[in-house]
Amino acid sequence: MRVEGKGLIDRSQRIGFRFDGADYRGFAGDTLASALLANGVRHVARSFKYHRPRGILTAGSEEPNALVTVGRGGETDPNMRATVQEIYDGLEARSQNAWPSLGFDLLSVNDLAAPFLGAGFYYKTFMWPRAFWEKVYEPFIRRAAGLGALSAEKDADCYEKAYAFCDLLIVGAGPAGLMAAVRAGAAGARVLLADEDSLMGGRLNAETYEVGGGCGGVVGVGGGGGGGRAGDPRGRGQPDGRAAECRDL
Amino acid sequence: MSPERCPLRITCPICGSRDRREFYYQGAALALDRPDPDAGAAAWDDYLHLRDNVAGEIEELWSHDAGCGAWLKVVRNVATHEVRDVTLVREGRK
Amino acid sequence: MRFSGLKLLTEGLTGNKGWGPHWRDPEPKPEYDIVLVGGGGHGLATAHYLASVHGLTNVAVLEKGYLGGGNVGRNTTIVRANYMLPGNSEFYSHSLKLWEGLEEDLNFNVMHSQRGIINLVHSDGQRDAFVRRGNMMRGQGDDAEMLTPEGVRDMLPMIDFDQTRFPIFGGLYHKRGGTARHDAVAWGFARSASDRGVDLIQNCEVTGIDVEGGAVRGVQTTRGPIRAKKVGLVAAGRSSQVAAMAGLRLPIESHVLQAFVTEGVKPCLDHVVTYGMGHFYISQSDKGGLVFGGDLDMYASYAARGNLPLVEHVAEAAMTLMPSLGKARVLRSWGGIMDMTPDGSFIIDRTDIDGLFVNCGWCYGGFKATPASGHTFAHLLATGQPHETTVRHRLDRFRAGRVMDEEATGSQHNLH
Repeated sequence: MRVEGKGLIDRSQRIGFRFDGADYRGFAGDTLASALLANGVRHVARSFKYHRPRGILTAGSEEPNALVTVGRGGETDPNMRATVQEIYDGLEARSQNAWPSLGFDLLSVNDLAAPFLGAGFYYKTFMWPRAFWEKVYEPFIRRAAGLGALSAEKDADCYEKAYAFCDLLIVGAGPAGLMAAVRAGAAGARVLLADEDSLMGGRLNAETYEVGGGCGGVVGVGGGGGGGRAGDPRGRGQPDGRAAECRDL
Repeated sequence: MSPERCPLRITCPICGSRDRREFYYQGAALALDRPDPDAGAAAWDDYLHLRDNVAGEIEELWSHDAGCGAWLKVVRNVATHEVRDVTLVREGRK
Repeated sequence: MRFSGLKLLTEGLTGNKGWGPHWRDPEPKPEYDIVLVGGGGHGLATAHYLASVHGLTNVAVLEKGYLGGGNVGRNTTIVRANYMLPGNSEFYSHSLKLWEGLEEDLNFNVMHSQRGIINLVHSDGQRDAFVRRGNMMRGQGDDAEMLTPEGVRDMLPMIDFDQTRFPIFGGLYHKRGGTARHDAVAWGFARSASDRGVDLIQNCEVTGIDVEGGAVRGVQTTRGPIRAKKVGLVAAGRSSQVAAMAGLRLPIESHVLQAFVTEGVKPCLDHVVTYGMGHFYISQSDKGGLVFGGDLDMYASYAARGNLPLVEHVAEAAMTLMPSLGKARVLRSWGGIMDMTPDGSFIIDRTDIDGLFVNCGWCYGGFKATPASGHTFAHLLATGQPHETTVRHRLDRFRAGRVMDEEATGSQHNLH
């Protein structure tokens, strides 16, 4: 399924990962979603109520379907979007909310009962006999609810925290955010440039535009709290004449 | 940019703009209008318990507990959290 | 239409065409016997009980937004009867009994789940205080049991027993406490009230209260004037604003309380837990989300949103108590407007204006009171006399010194 010669992956670095017990290979820069698609795996999840088969819909954090569990023990991350999960050597991921398996999920029988399970159906029933609510209906509803599961172990990961100050906080390091950061920085403001992704650039990572009269690309805008990559190895576009100003941010 | 617009911060006239956590909140700035001891139950009930509690700008008392300890009269809009003015209580009483 | 599993079946087999709106959407009439200002949980409950217990249906509920769009639509859903002081003890006990028959009463599944609530104990002193409270609860006829640390561990495997900051000495267990689905409560009461003939008027903001000769005559609204023989104010955090329209000042300060819910995860927490030392409490909804919250932000607010220091405080308490929570993503956070009284207890009373009644002061504990608040307010409106469980919840109790300071922090604004 790969498009030859294109994309942000580094074809010189192969990475091994596991999904639902099966081993696959991808490249550095792949997300779990792109690596699975490259391996021909399209069914990765089941829907919440009817357990209908679900694949990968998007290429970003807006992904509603491809929710998987990543990791083991205290590092277990439930409900991770496969589209934002970078693969790394030894990554272990598994599908959620299906039993006994993703491919053969007994609870997909709910789909047959769809006409009876409309939105809010539970408000109109499960009231009789009274004792059944606590003993039968509710336990069943609770087991069917939720997608991923917490590991019940102490969260083993560490997280950064910062009390930061700036004149301008830019949320989003796509072309508009980058340009705003350059301009504001040049005007003397203390700028924090933040992006949810692991690399800056937004749409610039998928396409090339002219930005400020030069070829737009991901130029180094390091320093301050912004992060980003100086000397982008992908070499998309050339740093324009304002690269020096960028570094002062 | 005026720091008073940030909902988390209050500008202490002595110490400058500080995080909300440095301050203790007393409530409506009525403590300054304490009735006479023999003003009667109605006046005392009014002072201690009854409140205008408007959904707009009110005058409040905050103390800079974790800083200089000064009592501050803060004019703040409780619907937007915007702080419009901060003065030292003792300045107002001169 | 009567709801049942059979109904779901027959409708499902015939294309689901028979379902109709849960409540009527009538134009306001020019006059009613009783007008209730506020279409939240308590207002809707009052309407239901006025109709079902007292046969009074010439009643309108006026809601400035949409039904249940205030605090009943954004709370942490806890139901319990573990209050201690005379006045509160019998009221919340009464409320819990109403909860236990509510689904039958409303023919609506409010998903009242009596999964038990555990108040954790972290010191000998706290244990003594909770034993005392438990005895008061039993004296009231409700249930209470002290758990050993092992007992807590069995019921709450998610809790970190290794942390030494707030060691677990045991817990007070109230088995009949639990949770309920908050939206369903509002909708269930609304549907019942509407079916019985009460008019539920939405998008109708009260802009004035007409008082003549010391008696209420009616209200002015954005949908026109409405005359009424009796007006009941039940507007929670906005009570002061509404009361001011009648020239009344209330002993209320409106504050913000924040709460949070995570993405749905498989069942991991089977009871409600309160961690008093950390100002933290948590339960798991039937949809799988972990619902939790902490203390007030501690400043007056009508913004229905709080600030990050409190969020951090709650997150720290959560991670101290249940470190496995760290991997659950917060889906939604919100804030409501709490009508805070100096002693932390509510007010259901007549006012000095004939025909004008007030139901407010629920602080951050109004949800569990929803049935009893409605039931006792309806009693007061219908009979003119307070219900036996609300005789102490007077508007003038602060002036008289008969406060009910459940938390024992002192009866003063900003201490609750």
